[in-house]
Amino acid sequence: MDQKPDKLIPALYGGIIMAFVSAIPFLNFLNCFCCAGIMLGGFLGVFFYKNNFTPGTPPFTSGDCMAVGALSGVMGAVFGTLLTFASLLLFGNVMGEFMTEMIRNMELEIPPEAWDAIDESLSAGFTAFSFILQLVSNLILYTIFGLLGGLIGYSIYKPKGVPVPQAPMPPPVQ
Amino acid sequence: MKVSKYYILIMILALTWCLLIIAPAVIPQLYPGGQEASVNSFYRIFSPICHQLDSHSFHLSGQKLAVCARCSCVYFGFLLGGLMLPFVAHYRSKSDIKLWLFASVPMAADVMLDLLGIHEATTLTRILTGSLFGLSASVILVPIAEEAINSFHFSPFTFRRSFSWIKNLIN
Repeated sequence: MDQKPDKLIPALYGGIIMAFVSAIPFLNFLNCFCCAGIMLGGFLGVFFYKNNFTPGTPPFTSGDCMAVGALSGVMGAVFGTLLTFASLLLFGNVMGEFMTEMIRNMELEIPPEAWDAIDESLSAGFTAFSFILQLVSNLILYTIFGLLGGLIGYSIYKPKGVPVPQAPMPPPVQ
Repeated sequence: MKVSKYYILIMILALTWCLLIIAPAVIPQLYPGGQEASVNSFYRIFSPICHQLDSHSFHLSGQKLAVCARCSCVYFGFLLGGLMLPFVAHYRSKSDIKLWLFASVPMAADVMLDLLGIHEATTLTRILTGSLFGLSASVILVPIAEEAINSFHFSPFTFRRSFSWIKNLIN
């Protein structure tokens, strides 16, 4: 029986998709729906992974899909952070200005101090510290939600005929 | 009713996540006047995954939670659904795809129709659609996650030096 295919390349594809969805202004609005963009990367990583299976390979498991999703998240975090900062440097904080304009149009009662904080965050520049902070934060969040996306992918693409998973029961007390 | 250690681990993680969400609202109550920096750090951590609009968020004693009402209901719904699973241990979804559609279509419709101006999403619709999605997700994902963790032969409660699970992760 053949070995299972490599996980890194499908995870790389999923991570790149995740990075583009998260870094492109307005497209990253998708992440406001409980990180749908990030989970999409993990889900697509599983899609690409399962396409590499042949009839001779053993079927993929939920553990495989969880690993692909988590790896997609790690790669997505690195690429996404790089892309986000590149986008900020090239185009400025397009998304932040759009959100501010949207809040102004909603005519909400926001205290002046809050507006000062919003304006300050919009004018905040790129620093190495903010980059590292963003990278660490993204590594945690993207891995978690990429992992969830991988599990969602398994629930959709699991091989037919696989019995519904039962939780492993603890041994009887003697 | 017996539960596995992997189920307990998953529920601990879900509970921790929910506690982090309510932390920015609870911290000022526990430490009044002076924890603004730590509260803001919680908002910053969750800012990539939620719009955090004040008008769309739950508030505890005047302080909003780390994520909006819909997201809060998804996560708390997931926790609640996961906690109920041992009591409905014999239930398993016959079609995950249909359950995902059942869970996600109302939420997607609520959001899209609100954006198009056809229907106004209210706090009630956010609670209902978010909770439905979270509960359904837990029914599907918790058993799969248990199986996945079990497949790594990873012992979460003991320290293992071999780290063979890392090799299993990549290969």
